[in-house]
Amino acid sequence: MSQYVDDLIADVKATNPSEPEFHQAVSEVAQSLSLVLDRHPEYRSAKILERIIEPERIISFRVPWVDEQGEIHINRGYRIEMNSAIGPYKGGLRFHPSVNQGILKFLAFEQVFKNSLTTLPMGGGKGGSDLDPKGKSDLKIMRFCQAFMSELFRHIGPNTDVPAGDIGVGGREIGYLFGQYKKLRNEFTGILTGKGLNWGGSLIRPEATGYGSVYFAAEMLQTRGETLEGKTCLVSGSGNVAQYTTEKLIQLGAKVVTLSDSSGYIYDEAGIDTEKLEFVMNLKNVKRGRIKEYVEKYPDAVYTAIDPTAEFNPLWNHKAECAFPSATQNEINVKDAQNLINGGVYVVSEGANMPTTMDGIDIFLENKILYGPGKAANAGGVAVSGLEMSQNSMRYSWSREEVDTKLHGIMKDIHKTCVDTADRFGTPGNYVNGANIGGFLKVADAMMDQGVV
Amino acid sequence: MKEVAEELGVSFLVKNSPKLLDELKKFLINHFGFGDFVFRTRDGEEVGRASNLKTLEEQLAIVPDESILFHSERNHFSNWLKARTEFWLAKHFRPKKAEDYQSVMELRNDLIHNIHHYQEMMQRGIITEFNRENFDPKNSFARIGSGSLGGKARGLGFMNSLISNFDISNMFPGVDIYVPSAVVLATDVFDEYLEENDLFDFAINETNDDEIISRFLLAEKFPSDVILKLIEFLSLIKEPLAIRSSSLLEDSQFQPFAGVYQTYMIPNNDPDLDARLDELLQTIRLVYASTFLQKAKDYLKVTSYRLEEEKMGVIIQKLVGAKHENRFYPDISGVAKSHNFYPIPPQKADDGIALVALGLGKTVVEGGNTVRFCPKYPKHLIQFYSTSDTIQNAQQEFYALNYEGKLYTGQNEIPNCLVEKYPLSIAEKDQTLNLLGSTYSPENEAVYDGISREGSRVVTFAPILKHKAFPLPEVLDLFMSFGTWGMGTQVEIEFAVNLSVPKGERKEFAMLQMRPMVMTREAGHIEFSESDKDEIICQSNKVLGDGVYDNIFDIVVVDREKYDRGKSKEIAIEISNINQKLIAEKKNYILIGVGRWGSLDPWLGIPVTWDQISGASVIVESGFKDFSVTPSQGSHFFHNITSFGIGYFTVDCNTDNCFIDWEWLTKSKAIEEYSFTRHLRFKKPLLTKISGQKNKGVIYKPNFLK
Repeated sequence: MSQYVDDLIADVKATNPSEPEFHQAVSEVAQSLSLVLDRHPEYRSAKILERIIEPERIISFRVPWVDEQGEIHINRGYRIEMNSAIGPYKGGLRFHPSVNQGILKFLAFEQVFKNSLTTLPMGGGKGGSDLDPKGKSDLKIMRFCQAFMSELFRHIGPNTDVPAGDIGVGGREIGYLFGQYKKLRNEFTGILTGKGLNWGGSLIRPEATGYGSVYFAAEMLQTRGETLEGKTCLVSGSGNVAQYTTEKLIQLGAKVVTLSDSSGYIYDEAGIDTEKLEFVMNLKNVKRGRIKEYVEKYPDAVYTAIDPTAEFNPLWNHKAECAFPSATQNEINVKDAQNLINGGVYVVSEGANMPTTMDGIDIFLENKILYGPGKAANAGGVAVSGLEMSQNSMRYSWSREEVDTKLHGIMKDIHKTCVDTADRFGTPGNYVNGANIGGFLKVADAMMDQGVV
Repeated sequence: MKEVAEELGVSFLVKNSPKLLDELKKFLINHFGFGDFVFRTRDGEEVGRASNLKTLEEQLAIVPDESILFHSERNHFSNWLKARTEFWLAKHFRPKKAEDYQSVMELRNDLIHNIHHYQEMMQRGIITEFNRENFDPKNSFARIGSGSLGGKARGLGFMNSLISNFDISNMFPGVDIYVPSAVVLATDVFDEYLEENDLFDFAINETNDDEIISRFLLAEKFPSDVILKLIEFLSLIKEPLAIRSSSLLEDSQFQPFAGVYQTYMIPNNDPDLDARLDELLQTIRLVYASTFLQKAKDYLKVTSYRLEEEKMGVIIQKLVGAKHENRFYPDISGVAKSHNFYPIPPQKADDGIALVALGLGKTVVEGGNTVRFCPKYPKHLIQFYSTSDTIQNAQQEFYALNYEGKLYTGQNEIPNCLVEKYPLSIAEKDQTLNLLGSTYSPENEAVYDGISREGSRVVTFAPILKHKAFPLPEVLDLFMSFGTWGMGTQVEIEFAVNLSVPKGERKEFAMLQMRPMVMTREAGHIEFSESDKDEIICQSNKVLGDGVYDNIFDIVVVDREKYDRGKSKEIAIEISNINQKLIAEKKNYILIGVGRWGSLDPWLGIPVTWDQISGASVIVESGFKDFSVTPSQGSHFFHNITSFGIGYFTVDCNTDNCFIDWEWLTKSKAIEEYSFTRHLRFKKPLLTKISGQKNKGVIYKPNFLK
C-alpha cells in the first residue's frame, strides 16, 4: 500500500508543481489513511483518493476596483470548490498578499475533512484574494469587497457554496460582501457565515471552541464512566478559547488551576472560580494586561515566568487529571507530555490548533490516555458556522441556550464518530485515528454513493 | 597671492597672520551677514549702513541705485536677513532677481514695501513684557524678565506670530486655533534666583537629587518684581496651569532635550490667591531644580555643552481642556511630525505623521498606545487593520489632572503627581469618548466606528479621522506645512484639542509647542561613501527607519541554503533561543532571513512573534530562492518597529542597488550554528546606515569601519 501512497504523492507533485503546502497536506492525509486503504480496496478502485485531491472546481477571476483617489487596482480572486459530497462547499475567504492557488488548495483540502468530522452537512472549500488590507481605508475595503463579490456571486449560494471569514476577512468584510450579494441577487439568504448578530449571525461564536473542547473531554471521560466534576484541570492560554474552556469547566464542577500567556503562567491551587475568571476576562479583553497581574489581585496564586531556555513548560508539571492546551501550536513537547502523564493527567483535550508535537502525541497514545486531538476537540468553531447556516435556512434565530445545546450535541456526535471509527479499525481509544479516518470515510462513502461525478 | 585673490574677487586670509582671528571675525561679519548691512558700490565704497530692519528700510530709500543693484544681484539682502533669522523675508527676496523688475526704482520700492509690511506684521504677534492691562487671558503671550526665553518659549512665540499674521485662528469654521495664554520667566530670573539663594555652586556639585530638590524648595528668595507680576497673572487666570521648562539648550535643532527637564501641572483653583501663588512658586523652584538633577547632568555630558552654559526659562501656561467632575483634561493630545521615517505607500516621508491620544499628553510622550495617522491619508490606519490588531493597539486608559489634588502638602517633600490614570469608562461617562471611540463586538468579531452599540470601547479616533467630525488632519497638515516653511526645517508640533465646549461655542485647537524636528544627528545628510560591492553585506532602496548604527557586532542569519518552508516554525524557535541569549548579554544584532518576518502563514515566512526577535536593531527581509512572496515591509511588527526605531530592510530583488551577499554570510564563521540558523559575531562593528529621506540603507562588512 505504501507504494500506492508514494506513487500518488509523486503524481501530485508532478501535476501540481510549486505547491509545496498542498503536497505536504496530501502526503499527511494519505499516510494517515493507509489503514483504511489497506482494508478497503473499494476506495482504491473507485479512485477516491485521486478524486478527493482534485478540486471539483477552481474559480480564478479578475477583481478590478477603483479607490477613492480614482486609481485603478487589479487583484486576483479565487474560490476553490474542493468537495461537495456531503453538503455545499464551506470554508473561509482569505484576503492576504500571500494568497495563491496552491495555498488555497491546501487549505480547502484540509477543510473537507474538518467539516465532515462535525457531522454537519458541509462540503469543503476555500477562497480569497491577494489583496493586502493593511492600512487600507474602509472605503477601499468596501470597494474591493464589492468588486470581489461582483464576480463571486454567480458561483455561490445557500445551497451551493457558503464562504466564511478567515485571515483579513472579519465582521466588516463579511458585511460588505453580504451587502453586495444581496444587491446583485435581490435576495436575503445565508450565503456567508460570520454575519453580524443583528442580520443573521449566530450566538455562541466566541464561546464555541472552548465550550466544545470541554464537551469533548466530558464525552471521553464518559467512556470510563466518569465526569468532569471534581477533576483538577490544567488550562494553558488566556484568550477566548482558554477563557470559555475555564467557564464551562467551572460550570461542570471541575477545578481549573492554571492559565498562561506568552510571558508566563499562574497556578492557583484553590482553583479559578467565577469571580476570578471574570477578573481574567476583564484583564485580558478590556485592559489587555498580562496574566502576571492575577497574582497581584489573588496573592495566594503563584506566577512563574517563562524560561525560554528550559526544555519543558512547568505549567504541565502540576498534578491534575485533565489538561486543556488552549494557547498555541507546539506548546506540549515530548518532555511536557511525559510530565503530564507523570503528574497524573489522563485526559487531554486540545482547544488550540496542533498544540502537541508528533512525538508528544506518541507518548499520549503509548500511555493510552484519553487524548482528543485538535481536529476533533476544537471543531466547535466550525460547528457553530454550520449552525448559522441552519438558522439562516430556517429563517430563525436560536437563543444562546439553544445554540449551546446544539453545539453540545455536535461534540457528542464527533466524539462518537471518533470512538466508533477507531474501534472499527482496530485501534480502540485512538482518537487520532478515529478523527482522521472518520472525517475521510463520511466524504468517501458519499462520493461512492453519488457515482463518478 | 593676495593680488591674485583680489583680482578673482575672493577674500584672502593668511593662516600664519598674527591677526588671523581678528581678520577672520571681520570676514565673518562682513561676508556672512552677522554685522551691520553695509551698503557699498561696485568699487567697494561704503554708501550707507543699517543695523536693524528699521534702519535698513530707511537706508534703502536713500542709497544710490548702483548699490541696490550690486547687493540684489548677490543675494546680500536675503543672506543678511537669514543670518538674523528673518526667514520669511529672506525667503521672499531670495528667488527675486534684479532683472525681474522693470527699473531699479521698482526693485527699491518692493524691498521697502516688504520690509515695512513685515515689521508691521511682526508687531502683531510680538512677545511683550507682561502687563496686566493688555494681557488677554485667552491667548496672550508675554514675558517676565529680560533674558532669553529659552528654546520652547521661542517656538511658542514663533507660532503665536504665525497664527496672528496669517489669521489661522479663523481658517477652519467652528474651530478656534490659538496658543494658550502664557507668561515666560526669562532666564535672567533663573540667574537671579540662583544668585540670591546662593544655589549655583551647590547645585552644580551636588549629586543627590533629593538634596537638590529640597534645597531648592527651601530657597525662598524670589525677585520681588517677578512675584508682583505673577500675582497679577494669577488674578487673571484661575484655570489649571502647566509649568514647563524652557531652557536655553532645549529644542535646539541638534540636541533633543525633550523629556530631560520637568513639567508640572497644577489645578490653580484655590480660592485663596496666596495659596495659588505659593503652589506656583514651588513648581517654578522644582523646574529650576530639574536643571541640576542627575538625569540632566548625565544628558549634558553626552552633548557638547557644559552645565554652566545652561539656563532655565519657565513657561507658565494655561492648561487646555475642560473640567469633568474632579478631572481636568483635553479631549485630544498629540504630536505631529512633518517627516515620517516609516511611510507606508501611498504615504510619502514628507506627508508627515501624527500620534494622538485621549486625555493629557503623557500617553503620547511615554509611548503608550496612541492612534498613528498620516494627516494626508487619515483613513489609512495600519494599526487597526484587523480586529485583533485594533484591540491590541488601541488606547485603554487616559491621563487627566486631578482637579481636587494638591501638588505640595508641606515643606521639603517630593511633590505629588496630580496627573492620574483613568479607565475609558470614565471618559464615556464624561462624554469625551463620543468622537474618539469605537466599539468592539466579540460576538461579531468586528470593531464598529462610534460608541452607539453595546460592546467594549476602544480609542480609534474613527469619528474624526473617518467621518470628519473635527478637521484634525487638515489643521495638522496646515501647521506642518507652515512650520516647515517658517523654520526652514522639518518640525515637530505638540497640540491639544478641547471638544468639550458649551453648545454653540467654537471647539479649541491649541498649539503647545513647535520645534525643529530632531532627525538624529546624522539625519538629512547621511552620506553613503563610495564603496565596492565587496564591502557591503546588504543594500536596499526599500528601507524604513533612519540613522547610523555603529555598535552592532552580531548577525543572526537564516541559512538560505538549508531553509525549508515546511520547517519555518522550528526556525522561529531557533531564532527565539539566540535572541534570548543575546538579550541576556545585552547585545543588539542584525537579523537576516527569508520570507515575511512574523508571517501568520508559516509557509510564507518565519512566524516569529515580536518578543522572539526583540533584541534585533536591524531586520532584513529577503525573498525566497525559489518562490516570490510580496514583502511585508515590516507591517506585522509595524508598531514595534516604529516605537523602537528599528531599521527594516526589504531586499526583494538582486541588482547592484538591492542585494544581500549570501555567499559572504555563509562563509563567515559562526559562533553558534543550529539546523537552519547561524549566529555570527565579529570583532569589529557592522556599520549600518539608513537614510529615512531616501529610504536607502546599507549594511557594511566589519572591516569597513577602520
